[in-house]
Amino acid sequence: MATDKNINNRNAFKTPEGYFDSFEGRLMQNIKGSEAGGLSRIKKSMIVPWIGMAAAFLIIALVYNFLPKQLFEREQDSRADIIQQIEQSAVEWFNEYELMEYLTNDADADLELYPDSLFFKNIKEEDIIMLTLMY
Amino acid sequence: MFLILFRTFIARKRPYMHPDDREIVAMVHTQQREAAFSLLVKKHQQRLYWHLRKMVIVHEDADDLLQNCFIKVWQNLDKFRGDSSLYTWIYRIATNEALNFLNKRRAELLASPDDLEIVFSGHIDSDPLYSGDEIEKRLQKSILSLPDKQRLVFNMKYFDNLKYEEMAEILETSVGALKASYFHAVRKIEALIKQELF
Repeated sequence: MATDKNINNRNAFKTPEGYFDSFEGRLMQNIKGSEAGGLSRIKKSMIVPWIGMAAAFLIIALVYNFLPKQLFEREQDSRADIIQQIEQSAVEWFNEYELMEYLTNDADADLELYPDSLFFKNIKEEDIIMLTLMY
Repeated sequence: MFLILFRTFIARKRPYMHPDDREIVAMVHTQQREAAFSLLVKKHQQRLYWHLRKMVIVHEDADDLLQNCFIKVWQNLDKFRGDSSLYTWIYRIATNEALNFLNKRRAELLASPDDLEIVFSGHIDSDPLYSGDEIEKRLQKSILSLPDKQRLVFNMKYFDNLKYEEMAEILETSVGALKASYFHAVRKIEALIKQELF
C-alpha cells in the first residue's frame, strides 16, 4: 500500500487481560454444556410424543365411559321429575268436592277410574268408600 | 508412462497439509478427538480472533463468533475430508460466521437511522480496548466504508499477509477477482484518508 508508512500493520485493537489463556477452558465448558442440553432435549423429544398419545387415549376413554351415562341419566331424571310434577299438580287441581262433581256431572259416562288412577293418588281408600257411599 | 502422465494431469491435486495438521487429523481418527481439538484451538485461536475482531470491531462479538466457529469445528471435525488444509477450512468457517453476523446486524439496523458503519465508528471512538492513534482510527474508519467482502479482502491481505492463492481458497473466488478487489479497496482508502487529512 503506497500510503503513509507511519500506518504500519500494528494491531490497534486490544483484548482483556488473559483472554486467550482462558479461552479454551470457556470454550470446552460451552461445548460440554450444549452437548448435555442436547442430550436431555433428545430424551425429552423422544418421550413427549408418547406421553401425548397416552394422554389423548386417556381422554377418549374417559369421554367414552362417562359422558353418555351422565347425559342419559339427566334426561331420565328430568323426565321423572316432570311426571312427578304433573302427578302432584293434577291432584292439587281438584279438591274432593270438585272431584266428585267432575265424576258425577262432567265425566264421561264411559270413564272408568281404577283404584290406582292418578285421581286417587293422594286420597285414602276409606275416604273413597265414604264418598261413594255418600253420593 | 501414459498412466503416470494421466495420474499427474487428470487426478485431483490434494492441497498441501502442514505436518501438524496431518497429525491433528490422524489424532481425530484414532479416538483422540479432544486432544486434537485442543491443539487446533491453541494453534489458531489468536489468528482467527483478530480476523473476526477486525470485521466486527467489538471484542464481545468477536469472542462469541470465535466460540461459535470452534463449536462448529468440534461438531464437524471427524467429517473433515482434507479437500483443503485444516487452517483454510477453519478460516472459512470463521469468515462465514463474520459475514452472517454483519448481515444480521445490518438487518437489525434497518429501522434505525444509523447504519453499521456509523455504529462501528462510534465503537472505535469509545472502545477502551482500542489503543490506536488518530491516524490509525482514520484508517480503521476508512476501511469500515468498504463493502463487507472487500473489507475482508483488504484485512486478509494488508493485516494478515495472506497470499492471494490462500485467500482464493478461503473465499472460494478467483485470484484475479481478489487482486482487483484489493486494488479498488486501497484506492478508496487512500482517497478517504487524503480527504480527511487535507
